[in-house]
Amino acid sequence: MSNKINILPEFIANQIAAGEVVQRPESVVKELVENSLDANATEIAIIIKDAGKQLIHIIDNGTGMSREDLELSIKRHSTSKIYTLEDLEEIKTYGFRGEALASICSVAQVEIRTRQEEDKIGWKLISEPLKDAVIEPVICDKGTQIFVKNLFYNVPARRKFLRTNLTEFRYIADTVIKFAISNYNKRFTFYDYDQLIFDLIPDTFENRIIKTLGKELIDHLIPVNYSNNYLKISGFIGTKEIARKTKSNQYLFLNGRSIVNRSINFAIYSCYEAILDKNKHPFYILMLEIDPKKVDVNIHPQKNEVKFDDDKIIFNSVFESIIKSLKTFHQIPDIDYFEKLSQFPLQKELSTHQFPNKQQILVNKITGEIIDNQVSKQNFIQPQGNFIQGQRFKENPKTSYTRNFSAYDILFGKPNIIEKRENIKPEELINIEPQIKILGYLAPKYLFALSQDDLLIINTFAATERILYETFRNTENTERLRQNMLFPIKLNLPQDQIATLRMINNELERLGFEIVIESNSTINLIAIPSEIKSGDEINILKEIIEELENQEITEFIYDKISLKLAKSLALRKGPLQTKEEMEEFVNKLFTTTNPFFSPSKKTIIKILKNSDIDNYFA
Amino acid sequence: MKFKVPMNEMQSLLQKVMPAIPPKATLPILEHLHFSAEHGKLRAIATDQDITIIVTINVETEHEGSVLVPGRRFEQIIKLQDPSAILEFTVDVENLDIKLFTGTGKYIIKGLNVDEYLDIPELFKAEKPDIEKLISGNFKAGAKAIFSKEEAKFLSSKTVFAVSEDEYRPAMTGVLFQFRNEYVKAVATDSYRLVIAKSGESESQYPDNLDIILPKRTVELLKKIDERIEITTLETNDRITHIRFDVDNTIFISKIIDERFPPYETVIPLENKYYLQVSQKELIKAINRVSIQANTFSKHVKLSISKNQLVVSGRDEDMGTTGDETISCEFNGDTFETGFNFKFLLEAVQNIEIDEKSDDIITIMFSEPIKPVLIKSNPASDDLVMLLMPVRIN
Repeated sequence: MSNKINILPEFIANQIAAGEVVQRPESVVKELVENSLDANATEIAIIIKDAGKQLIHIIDNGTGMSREDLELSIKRHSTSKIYTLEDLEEIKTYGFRGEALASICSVAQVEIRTRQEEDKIGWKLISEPLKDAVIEPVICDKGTQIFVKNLFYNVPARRKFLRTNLTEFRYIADTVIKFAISNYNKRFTFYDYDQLIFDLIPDTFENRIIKTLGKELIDHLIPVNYSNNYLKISGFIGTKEIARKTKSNQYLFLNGRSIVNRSINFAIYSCYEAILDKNKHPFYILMLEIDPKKVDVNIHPQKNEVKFDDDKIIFNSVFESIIKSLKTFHQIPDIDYFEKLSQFPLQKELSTHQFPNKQQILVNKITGEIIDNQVSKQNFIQPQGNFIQGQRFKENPKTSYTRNFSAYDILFGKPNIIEKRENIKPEELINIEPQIKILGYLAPKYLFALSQDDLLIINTFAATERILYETFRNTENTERLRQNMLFPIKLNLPQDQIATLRMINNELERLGFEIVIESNSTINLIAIPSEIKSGDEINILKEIIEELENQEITEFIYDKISLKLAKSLALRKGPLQTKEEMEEFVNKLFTTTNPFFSPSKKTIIKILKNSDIDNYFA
Repeated sequence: MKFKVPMNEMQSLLQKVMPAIPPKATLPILEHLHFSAEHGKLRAIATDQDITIIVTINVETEHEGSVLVPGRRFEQIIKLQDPSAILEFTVDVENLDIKLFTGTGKYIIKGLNVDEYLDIPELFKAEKPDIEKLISGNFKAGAKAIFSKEEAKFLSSKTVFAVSEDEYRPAMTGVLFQFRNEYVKAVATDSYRLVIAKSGESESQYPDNLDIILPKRTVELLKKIDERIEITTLETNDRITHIRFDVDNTIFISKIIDERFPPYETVIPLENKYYLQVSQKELIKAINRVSIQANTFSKHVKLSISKNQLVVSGRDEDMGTTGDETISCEFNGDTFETGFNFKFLLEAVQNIEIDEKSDDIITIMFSEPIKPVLIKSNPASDDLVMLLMPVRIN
């Protein structure tokens, strides 16, 4: 018998790799610009003809290559970017796989001109598929120029699959814009044929965004600045006014690399849930910086998908940073900050889900003012001292703190009063929890409370939905409590519901359910989340299945189920019994990220101001 | 219709029949008491169709007859009367006005014709209410049993709290009574806990191999009876449909739940390697204290057990609150950790009756972390056994 297994010739291997790396002209632009950036270029020009099919020409002022490097550069698995396996675990450059140029050379005619600063003379390489590359000396500027001509001319099938020029050009433009945004301190010049699309000189981040994405963004960008031990988040999110019906205007960069990530995306959408309609998409440009060791970028040749060590921290950090910014900039409704600010005591809050390390933070609950952690810690130890040093903040002449410190009393014993109202810097605002006095209860749904001069009417059903939804979300992947049953419930379900159940069973399990699908019509319910009351098990499970049945189940199943479960439980919530229970309930509500709206956008708190009430009697 | 009766006797009659009057009847006619007086006796019937209560007392009859009395209003009036008074009860044949003379007072309420009284279809297959048939014993009676004094009270009060609310599993919405010649067992479960109360009194009488599930409401009524009870099953087409309790001058008929009770014996762990012995009072205190700190929705408390010490803890991740109570105990293993819904745990522990031998100490028996635990007054006792399903952490 003859042998059937051959080692592929290198050229074929490159063409196969090209299928993954070089899918369209845009991929070439992306790979080459990444190379330029990795070569420390500060100026990069991109010239495109015929949407990149005829020519992609990249010029940079980077380090350039020696003759030997140039020769190696087009070989597969040749890279200047990693040397050891350890490097692979800690990738700081854009490229690293060493397959881009080799792949491109297998599907196009490529010419590279390059010169290193110290060399007097540069080198030119001309490569054509199936031919040996020719290298000869050339006079050129420092840096590298690459011409990619007639892309895919030898792969007709792939050429055929390219979209219209307009579409392909848009892909390219989008990629160039992403580079321009994330590398705002570099110059980017972009031409279509001879026509200058833009020439962006080094600038501030904000200016670069406005110059690339449009002037209408002015006044609608909300800065995000956040860091914890794990990562740093900076950038901008948009007000609701600039949310769009499409998902354009969403940019996410991880260590400079443009990525897509469901978890982060979902965190952002969750923050906007109460302020945007379902069909609107928020604007965001976020730069995440994280220790390269904690993220794997090598899961896809195009490298736009990444895998984090800990998705949950990422989710929580993004969530928290954005909520903070939204609250600071009054995008999320709030009890009037600046009137109330003066009058509420500080409260200690254990920030549970946001900070994995469970830091105590001090929060002025009504204003959301978060007090610097270090300061609060120091003063926590020395309760006699002045709680917050006045000089840390600028004085605001408008109002001053009055002596109303009962909650503070409870938490810290002796009252230490902040005498001066601070000029709140945006970064210092976070959560909100007024000191609330329960007035009465219109069972089972409405709770009446007094917060300073405002009458709050709290819809306890919607509030329960909010509280439970967040509990479920926070305990995802951590500790869900599962109540087992002595006698599993056997249940008959229609086939299509069983099919739905099969799709969501994993997530149900993560929530605390345990369901064994016995056949196409029967299931056995073995355990339930411990929040479900006896007697409600089947109805709630059915409601979840019915809800999910009518949705396209693709992503965020856990969250969708959590929401439905929270809603179902909220509807079945028994009345609050004691005053203590009511107080705890309200406190709990105010530990959530958004005590004003339920995740399904129901109003939780209606605020009646004293003046509103006056109006009723006018 | 006219009769006279001491007020206190009418008051006690109402106490007995009124529980069968539903708080909000679907049929207004059910809010009425069926009164009939003849041969010096007054018979009062109340029913909500599931439960029927019939009480007979001696009265001084002047004119025989029958009438439907608006139950709640009549009760309100009678309740406030002087017990030593004599009640004169007269019905105007023309318009069915009921006139009540109490010696000091005179009240008129509106009665209805007894022909309007509801058929009780499950009980009486006849077209018209055939209460007579029941009273005369002219039906097919099945097995007979006798509960000695306080036996019904013990069996029902120890089990009824664990009954399920799950309408999908009707068998579990009642208490199973298992008669086994020498003893009777009452069993209730909502699938998260299970309780078995057992009784075998010498003056009682139990049929052989009879299993009956009684609805929760019926068992609630049995809880209040501390008299000797005669029990008869009522059959239709050779199938038990109802059960009749005879207590003193009261007949109490309830429908049964004709379903199969889950095979509870199979879930009782046979081998329980670990025994935790702890003071009931201390444990109740500890649970009550830490449950304040537990999450109000999940109601979870954790038990961390080591040789001589039991830590009960409650915490709420959302609020960042925790509470721990440490109590001394005796444990035959090294360490064991488990968790429960604190409400269930508390009810189970409180439900255990300590016998003299046990001296406030209860025994909690474990096999494996996800198997149910057994709670008893002492390991050997099987008068009262609680099974509790732990809450697992995912």
